[in-house]
Amino acid sequence: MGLSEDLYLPETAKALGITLRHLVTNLTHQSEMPTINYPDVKRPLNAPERYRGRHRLLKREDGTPRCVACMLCATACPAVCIHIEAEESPTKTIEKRPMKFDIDMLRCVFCGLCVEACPCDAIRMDTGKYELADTSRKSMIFDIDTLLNH
Amino acid sequence: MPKFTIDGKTLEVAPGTRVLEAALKHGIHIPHFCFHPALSAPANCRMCLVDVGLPKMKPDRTPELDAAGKPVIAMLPKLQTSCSTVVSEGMVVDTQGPRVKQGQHSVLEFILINHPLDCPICDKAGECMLQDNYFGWSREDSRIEPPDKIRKHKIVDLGPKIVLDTERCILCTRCIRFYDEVTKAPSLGIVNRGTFSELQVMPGRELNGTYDYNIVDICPVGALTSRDFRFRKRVWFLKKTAAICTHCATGCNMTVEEDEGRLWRQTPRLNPAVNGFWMCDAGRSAYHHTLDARRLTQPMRRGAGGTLEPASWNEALAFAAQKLRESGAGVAGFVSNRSTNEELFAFERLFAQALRGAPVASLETEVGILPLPPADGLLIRPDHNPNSRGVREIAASAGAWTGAEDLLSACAEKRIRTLLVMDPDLVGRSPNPAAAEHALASVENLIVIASHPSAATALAHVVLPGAAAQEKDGTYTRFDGRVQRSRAAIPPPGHARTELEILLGLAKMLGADFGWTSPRAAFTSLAQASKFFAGLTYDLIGPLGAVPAAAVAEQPASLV
Repeated sequence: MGLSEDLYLPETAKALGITLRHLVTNLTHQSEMPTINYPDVKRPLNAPERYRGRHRLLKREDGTPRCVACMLCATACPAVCIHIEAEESPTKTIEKRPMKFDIDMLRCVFCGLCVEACPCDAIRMDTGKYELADTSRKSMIFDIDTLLNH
Repeated sequence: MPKFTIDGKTLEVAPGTRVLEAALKHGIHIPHFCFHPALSAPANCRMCLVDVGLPKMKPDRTPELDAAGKPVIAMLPKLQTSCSTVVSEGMVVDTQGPRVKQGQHSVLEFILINHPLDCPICDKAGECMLQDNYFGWSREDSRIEPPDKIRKHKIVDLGPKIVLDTERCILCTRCIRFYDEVTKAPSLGIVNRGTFSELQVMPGRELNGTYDYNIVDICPVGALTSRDFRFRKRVWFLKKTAAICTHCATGCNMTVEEDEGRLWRQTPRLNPAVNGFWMCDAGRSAYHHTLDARRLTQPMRRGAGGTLEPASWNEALAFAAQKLRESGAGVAGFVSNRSTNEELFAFERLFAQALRGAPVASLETEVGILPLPPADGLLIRPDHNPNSRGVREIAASAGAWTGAEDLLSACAEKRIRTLLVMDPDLVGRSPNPAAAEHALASVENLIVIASHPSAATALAHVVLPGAAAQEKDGTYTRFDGRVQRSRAAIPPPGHARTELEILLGLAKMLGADFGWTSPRAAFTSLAQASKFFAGLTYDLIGPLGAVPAAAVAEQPASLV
């Protein structure tokens, strides 16, 4: 180490100089800064087509859920985060429908196996929504209404 | 005994044995639908086709021999249904050849012509013979497009318990034969012809008998589903435990099916000496009693204000033990014929070792805890309790057991200060409920071990929450002496414990050590203490139970 480094103070002044230079550059060239003010400013999601975002349940033309509660998604789910309870559908041709369809988003690993397993194309992960944070565990368990009205 | 050759293996079977029976018994699987070991074989599904050859006979009825001295085999021109072909001397059967495969493959295609393929919403999916046979013997796409399939009736109620889907039905007639041959109450039939054939309940009748759910089990497809289980759970989630039904002295062997700690279904488990393939509907539905929301899940002690208040296990057991110790000669106990042999033995040991041989009694009642149809000579017996025989045998080997009447009157006369009750409903099951209630109310300290609330728990000073039958390990002694083991499928709810744990806890507080803690070791000890159970162990009991030497003469003939 040289003398100026041994003395410590000149080096400190040099470092502060660099900081000051960056501060001034940033203040004068704001439009070139890569940082955005998330969440006030959001970048468009240039996600690939098969990007797996938040789940949604699809509806039939008459507005009822497409899901027939066969529980194949719950069977395929490696995180055991899908809980379905079935009931008799009032429509005789449909027979079975979900009474409860909960996805525990805290457990979900976004693998997409539920989407692959579904024989009715009733569940998809194509919402492109990736912001999944909340303040309580309970609100992170999405029920059938949340999933249908994504 | 005729000898025959099947796939190159030579087997010797009893006369009259059908080829399919012999094959299944020796590990050769021939696909089938309509054949059921307990029913006759109409050979109407045609799935079990095999190639059959018979030795060529000379005019003098001796087999014709070839140059090598072996009998010449003449193959029958057509494939035969193995379920209806009786084995004969020298027969040769081929279950694997290309002709057989082609035959089975074509039959399966015919069966699937109008099948709706709604497996995703079919309750049978996962345990369906049609699915299994399709994956084993066909795996081909249908040549009939869904719009061309013949539509029939879906969701037909055959009574309050059974739902029929005529599209899924493959017309095997197993259910029809079940009513004709097992319950002897013909109820179902097939109407219309050809592809329009449909299963129907006889006009003006509905299925509301005692054994209806059995047709759901034997239905090889999802045509018959149970209202009780319909859409509740997919079968592949269910974990199965071998247990015993505790709602009558028959002790049907059953499989308790559970998922995530909740019971979903009970199905019969084959035991030729006890229940065959069957089980009554009441016993099958009895798991709802275990799911009862009013279950006792928390130890309770009567507080200063006279109401029952939650207590910790330590507090409740310590209080109970203290009262049992203090009351000197004024101690007595009630066991019941609903407890396991191990619990009865633990109770007996507790009173003999820790409580100076205080008297123990049991209600000798046939009243159970659930309403059951009357005895019918098929499975249901008049005694609706699983272990009346066990109580009798354990009482016989114990010392100070007394009559229930005497003990209740001693309570009413206040000669008993502390009473330990291990009966689900001592008041309701007693022949004179008013007198029993008065007797229990007269006791200074009433300690009740029970899984459900009853008149006795309402009067109790300490309530110790116990386990239901599906929640504990133990053995029951059937009316004919057969000892059968039931295993725990789920843990008791909340803070409840098994009766054996509770009795061992009390014994510890009272300073007694039995030298064992598990049901298995308890039974080993019981087998040493009692002449009746001598020589039996859990290993000998196995999945189908064991008959003690003393009861061999009483065994009924096999059901299957």
